[in-house]
Amino acid sequence: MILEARGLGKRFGPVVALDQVDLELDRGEVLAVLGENGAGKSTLMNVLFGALAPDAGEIRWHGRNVAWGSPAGALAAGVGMVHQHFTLLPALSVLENVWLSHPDRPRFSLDLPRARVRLLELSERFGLDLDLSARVGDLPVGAQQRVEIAKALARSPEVLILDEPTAVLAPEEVDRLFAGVRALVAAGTSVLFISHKLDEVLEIADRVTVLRRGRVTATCRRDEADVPLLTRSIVGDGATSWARAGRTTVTREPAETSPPSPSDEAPVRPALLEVRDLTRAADRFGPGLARVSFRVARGELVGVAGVDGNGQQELAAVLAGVLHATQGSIRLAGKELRGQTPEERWRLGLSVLPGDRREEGLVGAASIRDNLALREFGAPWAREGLLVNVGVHDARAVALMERHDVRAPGPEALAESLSGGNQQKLLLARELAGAPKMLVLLHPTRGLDIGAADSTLRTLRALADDGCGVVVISAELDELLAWADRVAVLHRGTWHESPARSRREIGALMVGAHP
Amino acid sequence: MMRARTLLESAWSRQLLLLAAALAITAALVALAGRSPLAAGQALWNGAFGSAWAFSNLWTKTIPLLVTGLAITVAFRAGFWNIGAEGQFMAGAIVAGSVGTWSHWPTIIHLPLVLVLAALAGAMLAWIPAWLRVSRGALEVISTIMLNFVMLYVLSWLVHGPLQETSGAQPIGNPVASSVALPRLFGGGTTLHAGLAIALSLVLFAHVLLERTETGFRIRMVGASPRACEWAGVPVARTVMRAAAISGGLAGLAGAIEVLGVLGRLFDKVSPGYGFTAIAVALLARLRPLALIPAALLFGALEAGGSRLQQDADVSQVLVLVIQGIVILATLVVGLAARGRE
Amino acid sequence: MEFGGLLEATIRITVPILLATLGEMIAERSGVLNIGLEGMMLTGAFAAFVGSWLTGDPWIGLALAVVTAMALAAVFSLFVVRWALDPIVTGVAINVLALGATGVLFRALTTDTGTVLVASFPEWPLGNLARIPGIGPALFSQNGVGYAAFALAPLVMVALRFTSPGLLVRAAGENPDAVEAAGGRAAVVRLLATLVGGAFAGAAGAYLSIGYSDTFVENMTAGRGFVALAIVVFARWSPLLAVPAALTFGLAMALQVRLQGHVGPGGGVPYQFFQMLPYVLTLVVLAIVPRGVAGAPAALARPWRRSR
Repeated sequence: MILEARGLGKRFGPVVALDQVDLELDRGEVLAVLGENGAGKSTLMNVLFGALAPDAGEIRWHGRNVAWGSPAGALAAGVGMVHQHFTLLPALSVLENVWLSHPDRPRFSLDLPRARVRLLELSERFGLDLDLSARVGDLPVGAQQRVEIAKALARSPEVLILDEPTAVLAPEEVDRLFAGVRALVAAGTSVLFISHKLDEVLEIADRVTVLRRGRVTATCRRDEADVPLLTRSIVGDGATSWARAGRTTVTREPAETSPPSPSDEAPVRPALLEVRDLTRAADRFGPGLARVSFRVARGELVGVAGVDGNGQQELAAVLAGVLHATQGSIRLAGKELRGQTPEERWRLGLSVLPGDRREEGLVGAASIRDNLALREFGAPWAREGLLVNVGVHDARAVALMERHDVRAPGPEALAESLSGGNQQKLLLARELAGAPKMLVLLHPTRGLDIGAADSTLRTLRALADDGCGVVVISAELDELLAWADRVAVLHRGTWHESPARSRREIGALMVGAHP
Repeated sequence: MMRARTLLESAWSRQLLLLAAALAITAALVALAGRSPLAAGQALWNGAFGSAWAFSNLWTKTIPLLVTGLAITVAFRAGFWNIGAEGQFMAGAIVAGSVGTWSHWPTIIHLPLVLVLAALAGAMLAWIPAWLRVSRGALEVISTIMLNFVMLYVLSWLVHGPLQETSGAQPIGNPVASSVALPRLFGGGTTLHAGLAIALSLVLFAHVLLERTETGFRIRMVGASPRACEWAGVPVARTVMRAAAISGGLAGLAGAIEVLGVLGRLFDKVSPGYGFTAIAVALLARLRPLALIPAALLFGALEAGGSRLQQDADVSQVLVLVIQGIVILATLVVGLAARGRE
Repeated sequence: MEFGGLLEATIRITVPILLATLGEMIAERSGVLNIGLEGMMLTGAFAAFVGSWLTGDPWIGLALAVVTAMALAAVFSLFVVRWALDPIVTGVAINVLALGATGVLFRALTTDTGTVLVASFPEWPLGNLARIPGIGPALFSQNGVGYAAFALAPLVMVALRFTSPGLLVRAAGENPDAVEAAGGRAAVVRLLATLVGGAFAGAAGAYLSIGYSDTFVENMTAGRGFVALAIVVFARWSPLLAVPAALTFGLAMALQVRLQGHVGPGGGVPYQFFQMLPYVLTLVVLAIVPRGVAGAPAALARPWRRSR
């Protein structure tokens, strides 16, 4: 055994993150740690990597008890880690990024010639295909991840921890990553592969350990894996929904068969939102938008799939009025939106929910009441002459919290103190209070556990069924396939729509390969 | 950049503790300078409480600190780091020292006119760095400080040139007309003037503005999270510019009140640094308008007491700056302690 | 007016601003916005004066200036780097503190003595070069700190671009987490960069008090630290561009002094207009540099704390 964990425990206040966790990793194998968000995977990895100290249990390295103390200790011993969120320097070159982490980098000089030789060696040995002089910020996500992996491999680790490495990758890039992992293992490195995707784990891992609520609920070899049993170990017995674990079929009927709204008389349903030729140059916000055109009808839920950084943020921001398009038109219920502020667009019935709840959606340091009042603090119904009656907002906050099941001690609680799921409910409560005609959401389920994700998607579906137009922009293709009427793809700022419904075909569109 | 909230988190009991620390460090500096901290403390005390005149002087010094403190509070709550209250104060003083000298106007028109124009002058001066930040991304810290220097020389030019008193004897302006001079509150014996009433109503105004109006709500929200405000349709740029303008307007009013109530005419040095002291005042009050009253009184006492330092204890009056600096740093540390308890 | 004199004045005004700019650039490239620069310069100027006065040796004055300014930079780092507090509020406090403390101590020291003139840096003429008419005395007859300021610009560039510590500094300014992931300590990198920046500010202050003149005057930096902050933006965080950028300001300030002398009060343009020139120029620069300029470190002025 290279790395072993025995009876690991870790608490955060009253929350038990790890409880009696055992784990074994042998030389030259891939061990997958599988579990839902919040199952304790990240805590476990951080303990194994020395970023967190365990409260109980021990870690053995080559059979000897160790206490890393810090990531530096783990790194020195031979544990490398590739974080889900890259720690790259976008403004610097690939060479500078990797050399920064390289043990051969001299203390004072930079020795660029030697750096070049060493890194080309590294790139060749592991098939990383690094373009040393490229600026990291200019590279696609898959190539950035290879830079991140190169940084870890530069220290020739015996164990490499990959934390949700496929979360940001398109299916094609996943295949490439897996080929790389196999090459690594063949060279004798051991890999700890963290994921919440069962199908991927069954493809790459030699053995699987399942975590649920901080406990190991199953451990097995891949060839002995019993899929229904594993699924139960992951979600528990009571779980009824398992949208992400390899569901590849369409559960929704196409939009044409949903009941038409009574006011519809024309054969083609009038578009509620009509976007034509929306264009925006690439800049620091992303690759821009290239002649994006689409229509959304009343009662329709449109999914927009795509790998992060392909124009999703810009599309949402341009629709919200936060960023501007250089050309193209947006029509909402027949009215052209041109130069309206985000506030005016919201008054017209277009509500856009940003992707980062904590930073963009909510004012974290403000109370629930103030967050709910954010758009309408000075509305006529809250006024008493020139002044605002804050009590009205208090009462309204209590009512909205009740209606949307926002769980908090009261309306004075700070938004940042809420869990992700409750923050999402709070954000939806604020937006739905204005009864929007058209709702656009960016990554609505990101960071939510499966229950909260499910409830969010259910709410959105119900809204669409009530006649609202809904656009969900997300990287979670399976969720979109399960819940949307149709799924389009954004790739490098270009909109692709095809009748294709299979995961494979849409996956191909996500990486720009036309089927 | 920090959000205004970090400044809001500390508890009141700790504010007193930090004051004690500030005084202790200051005493150490006085000792280092080879002077008696005790004598310095006594000078400060006598300057603020030693006589009826001193005590009224304390209140007189409190008035500009209170109003510039409000200016800082409104700006900082919006996340607009206005270090330019000093220049805005001068802009207001210039208006009072020029428009205020017009004779034969009835008070009912003349006084409001002077105050409104002074507020406008301060607001316009604060509007420039706000615009530079919103449209150019320029740090307002730098641009407001640059404008302080510009105003310093504008004021110097005016009292040496266009606004110099008619006799041309001294680099000072003509006395303001009796129609706008703020009456002394206790007859001629003290310096305390009716500006106190204006200052206290402005405190109330700022409190109501921040808590009960849409503009104030937006100022608070934009200060807490500009990005969330942008997505939620709160006009961030407009709110920042508005907060800057209100802030500058308040500082301009402070300058006008000082000229109309205390100085009586324009001088080269209308402010001993009220615009900077106000930062310490506002931070000590944790950016809350009502709490500014005790905080401004405290620094008013220091200002009043400082005038005796040189004479009584042979210590430079700029010692007060040391206390200010330490109070600001200590406020940050107290906020940090609050953060640690979360 | 003679060209040589103007050039000499330009160089003399440029040197402290350039030094402060380079120091600030190092700090900013590591992600620390040092608003306390002005206070560190002023403290350096005062410490150099005291050191030179007590020992009669301007070089000890310089050493004392560097050490004192670094101590102040350490306090600044404690707040901004270690505790991740706001750089603006901290910087304002440092500046006020420096202004007050130097004022109190200076007056206490000189109450009985009146104006004190102290030993200043000796000039080192470079042989025949110093005798070139016009430019010789200005360029090739400077003191050591003056030569060093101009020599440091390319050195700082090389240090940032082509050395390991330089790479760490740039990495800390772009993404502190990347430094940690590479086994480094982002906070330590930022602390050291701020200390080096403080040392530069101290030397800049020393040039003001015992290079440019031979005494200390209360608040003698008069906003030069803030001007340097603006020049960093103007020069787009490039040490090489800092030289022409600082020279532009130096020229403007030298012109102000000259024109002031020539026109005088009462004749034509009031001298105060020339006095405000550098500050107006800074505002103009801030107004014409477009937002989001290339070169700004991505993590500049973002307080950073190690996660968990």
